[in-house]
Amino acid sequence: MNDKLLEQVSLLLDDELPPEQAELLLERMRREPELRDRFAQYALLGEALRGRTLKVDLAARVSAALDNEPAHAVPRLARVDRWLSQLRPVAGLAVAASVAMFAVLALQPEPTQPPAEVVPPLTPGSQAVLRAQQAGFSGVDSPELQTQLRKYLLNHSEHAGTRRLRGVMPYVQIAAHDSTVTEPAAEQSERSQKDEE
Amino acid sequence: MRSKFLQLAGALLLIASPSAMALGEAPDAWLKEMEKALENTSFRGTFVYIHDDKAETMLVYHRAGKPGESGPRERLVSLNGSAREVLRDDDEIKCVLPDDKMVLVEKRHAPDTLARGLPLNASRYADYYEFELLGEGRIAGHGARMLAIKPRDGFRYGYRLWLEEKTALPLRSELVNEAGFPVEKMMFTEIEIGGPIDDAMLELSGIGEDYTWHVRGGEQDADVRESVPLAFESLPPGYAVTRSEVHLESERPSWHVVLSDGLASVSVFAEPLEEGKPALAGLSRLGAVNAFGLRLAQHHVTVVGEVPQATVAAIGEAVRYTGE
Repeated sequence: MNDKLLEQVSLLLDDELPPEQAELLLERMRREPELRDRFAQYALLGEALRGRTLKVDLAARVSAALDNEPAHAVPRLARVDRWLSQLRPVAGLAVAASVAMFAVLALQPEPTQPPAEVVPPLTPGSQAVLRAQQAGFSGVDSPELQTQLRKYLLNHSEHAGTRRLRGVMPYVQIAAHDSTVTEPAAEQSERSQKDEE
Repeated sequence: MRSKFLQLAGALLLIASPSAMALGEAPDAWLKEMEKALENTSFRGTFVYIHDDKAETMLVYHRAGKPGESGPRERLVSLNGSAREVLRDDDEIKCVLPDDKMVLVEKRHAPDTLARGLPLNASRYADYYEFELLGEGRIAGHGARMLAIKPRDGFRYGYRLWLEEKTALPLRSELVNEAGFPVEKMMFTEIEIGGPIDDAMLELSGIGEDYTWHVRGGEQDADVRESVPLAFESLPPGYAVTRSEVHLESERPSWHVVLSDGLASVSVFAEPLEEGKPALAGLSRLGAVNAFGLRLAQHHVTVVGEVPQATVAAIGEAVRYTGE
């Protein structure tokens, strides 16, 4: 994808692309499965993984726009689509198209919960903005569930042979997670302001 | 199963001639040597672990398996905040979490060779990863060679490893997401390779009397693939079931299935639904670990692994209950 296209994709994801251009971009994605696939990867990885949540109404809009076109769906995405269709009642979203999945991926399972942690790229000079980080698994308020998930992780670490490429124990995540660290309130609010910009 | 003799011989060889190693330009040789080194080389050191915007400093003691031991012993101590500790020995892993006044214990089954999986082999994973030896560097005062492992699709993370030039121990490692950003970094700031590790260094400290112990696993667990009523309709490319087991410690059985593409692995846990017990619905994340939870028949399924969100979601979506 060229830069221009990437820019459009980015604007689309932020719901800032003028409607007529959005329509053209969606039209192009309908015609070009490869473009959709690459767009999917770009959006999924670049946006959702960095935690930029998408606007729900955009998801619905994109979904509506692409509603009629699943014929040439990329198989890999189709799987995620099916998963999404199961999520629909949970998230309360009318999502049907591959493109819209990013919205759901970036949303919390329970819309009433605090926003997901942001995964900032650890590149030098990164401009990533962070929301208040909660301790442990993201989006999980229940201490009981946190403990359950840690147990799963410990069990996974021990039995899944994940240690081999790390040099240290994979359960480093469990030990590394320091719930005593809290961010200064001022910094948080500054960050959330940046986030809104 | 790797014979004890070979392990020992490997260890002796490393001790006898650490500088004689000439691994050349084949990524596979470095990969295999690294795997051996993690089994057969003792080390202690301090490393920085970076995830999200946090940096943690940790102390690690790692002692190569002695004759009669099932593998290396390792103790990890957090040097920031509360003194969280993890100890892995012959029988179990213990995890001490002072903030929660809790000790998690995961007992191991008798000879757990399966958990180690097949020996690493770059050509076996060539469909899904690209291996490349890059330049040389210096980490914690040691010369190191950089090995990049790049995923060929978005269903697995990549790795960047800096391997110590003589032993191939990983001195620095980065887990890289599908967009090419490191999601987790580990780097030694000082390391002593090959020195003795006393028993005292492999003992947990600071477990309070009021701590709650959560113990799981052990002899009562069976490991029978046939009796796990879970199947996968379609999986992300390269992933296959490598291990299935039934957990029998509660009234109704629960299951644990491990899937792997050879390098990355994902666990699928299924437990009977229990009223009032919270369960994960949808996605969650801890560092580079992603999790996905869903309800399936009268069970709750949780998928956990150091893989991208898309992978835990796709695997969760592919689970089918084949029981009655």
